[in-house]
Amino acid sequence: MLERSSRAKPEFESIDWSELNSSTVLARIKDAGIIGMGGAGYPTAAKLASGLHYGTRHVIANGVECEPEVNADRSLMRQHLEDVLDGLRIVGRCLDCDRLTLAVSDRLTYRSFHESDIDEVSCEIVGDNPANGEERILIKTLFDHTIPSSEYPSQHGFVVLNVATLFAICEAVRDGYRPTDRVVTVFDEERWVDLATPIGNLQDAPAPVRLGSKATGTKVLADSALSLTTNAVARDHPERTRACIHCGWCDDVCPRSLPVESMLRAQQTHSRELDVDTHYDACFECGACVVACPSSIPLLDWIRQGKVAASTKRLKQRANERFERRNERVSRRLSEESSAREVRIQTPREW
Amino acid sequence: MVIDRNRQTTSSVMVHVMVALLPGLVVQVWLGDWRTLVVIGASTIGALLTEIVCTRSTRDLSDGSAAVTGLLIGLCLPATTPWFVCLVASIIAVAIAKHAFGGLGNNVFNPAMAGYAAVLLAYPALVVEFDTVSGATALEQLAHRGSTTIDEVSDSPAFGVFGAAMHEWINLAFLTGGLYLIAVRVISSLLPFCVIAGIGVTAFMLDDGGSSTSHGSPLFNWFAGGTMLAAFFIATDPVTSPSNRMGIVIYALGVGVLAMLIRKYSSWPDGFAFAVLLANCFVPLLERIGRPRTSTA
Repeated sequence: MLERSSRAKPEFESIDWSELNSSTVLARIKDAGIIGMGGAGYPTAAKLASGLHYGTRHVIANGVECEPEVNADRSLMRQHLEDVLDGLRIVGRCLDCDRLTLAVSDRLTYRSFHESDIDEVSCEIVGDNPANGEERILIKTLFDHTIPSSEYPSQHGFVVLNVATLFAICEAVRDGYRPTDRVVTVFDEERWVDLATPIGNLQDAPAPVRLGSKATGTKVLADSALSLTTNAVARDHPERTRACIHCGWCDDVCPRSLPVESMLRAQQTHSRELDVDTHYDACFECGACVVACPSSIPLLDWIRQGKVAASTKRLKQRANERFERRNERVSRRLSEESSAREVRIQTPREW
Repeated sequence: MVIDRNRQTTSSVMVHVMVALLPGLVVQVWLGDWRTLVVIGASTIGALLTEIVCTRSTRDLSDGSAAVTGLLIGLCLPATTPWFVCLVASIIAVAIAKHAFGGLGNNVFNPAMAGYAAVLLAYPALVVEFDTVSGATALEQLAHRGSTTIDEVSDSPAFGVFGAAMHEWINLAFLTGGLYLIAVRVISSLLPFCVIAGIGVTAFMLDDGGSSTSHGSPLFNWFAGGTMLAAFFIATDPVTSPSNRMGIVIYALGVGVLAMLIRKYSSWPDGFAFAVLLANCFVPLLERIGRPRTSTA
């Protein structure tokens, strides 16, 4: 059992969710400031509103925690499975949907779910590989339904919520608490951490740190703070990085079959020769390549750089096109004005 | 996610390669000449020292790439090679073929083969395989046999049960080591078997049943010279081989076919060094041909 610091009185009144109406729950979720705690941070109230709008056929609790060496969701489910399921039931009631699925990759949770004899929720176990937690891939695995990356799952009748988000929903609606802490994997160990804790307070001596897992986290300064979307804090080991030996293992493991190695080379050499700009946006940062890399290269850092560079390039291109259209417009107007002037000058006056 | 316990690092890859080279090394020393050990020692020490000089630190020694380069050179050079030739080969390999091109990961040519080919051309008289038991090796005899037919040549003690004498067992040992590398997933099976297929198909087409221009059956060629060492340990160098499937197939078939053509039509008994170096030239091109496409789903 992980130790959780005691909390003040509930901020809101608890809602009897078995007789609730959707708008009350949505308003509560919005007031409590709940966002997607799996990492993306999408406002949960907005997601549910969109689910209401398009009509929801499936609500999926995403407990397929598959970032390398992160076990925050796993520990949360082992400790508070019933609360997570209550959150799922609240969302199901709110969206008027009775097909509720809990997707996990943890055998222990799967087993304890089946021992607890729950019939309105079904539990599916999903393989523990780095891409399976992504919601579109999860939907593909569970229901064999493909959602193009340009559309939201809610447009196809699926609402996918992280289990930590569901736990927060349950506490906000049933008990009236605003989320003020969450389970975080801090240096390979799970614990409840209060939000807005500076990272520096979690470690004895200052050292380079990543917010998120070793593979997928972003490098941060020691005084940046923990947020709702932080599921892990990991040490960074820049000294272990070696040169790329072009083994191609990153290409082999990429769930999107991206040419990771070519993308790395394009970034490292600033080469414009390889036309790989279009690939950067397709990467959803699962970190499979980072785990596979024998030279411990922080591939995701390079890919994120590439994403920024590619979007800057697109912006520049758009600005350039706008500028050229403007120049064309100006020169056309000038030539029209001068030809009109010409006509005016040459027209004999009547007086 | 729980991290895969079989996770590989560059150093662990190199350790696996050294372990896989052991059976071949043991057989080579046992059946051949103890001087092989001197040759291997000289080239490995030469490679390690050159690496220290080039990087001016001992940090990069731990990735094991220099040691493997030296080891491969030592295994390629015949046992009678003088120690200073081994040193020259490993210095050229590490200093020129690797570090002058930008260090590990940036070299165009396989360092071990570049070093070996350099001394092969520079000291042709000193780098001739001439073993004390049977005189010239089978491949030497085939390359310099005049107009004798394959049956006449193969009566000589240089030919073994199914390959070249002694070399058939060495090749078998390297094949075992290579299969170990595939089993621990350090190399994929595609590349080495394409090299073997390239050798086999070319040898089959050139084999006219035993005239004076024939160069032996596919089986003989698989188990003669450095076939298995080259297929599993040299051509598979990740740095100097393509990383996409299409490129790997073309590259590996190319190595096999070129090696076989060099064996038959040139005066060099074995052609793997030149075949690998020639195929290395095409790798940047092959990387571009078979670049994977993005899936849009």
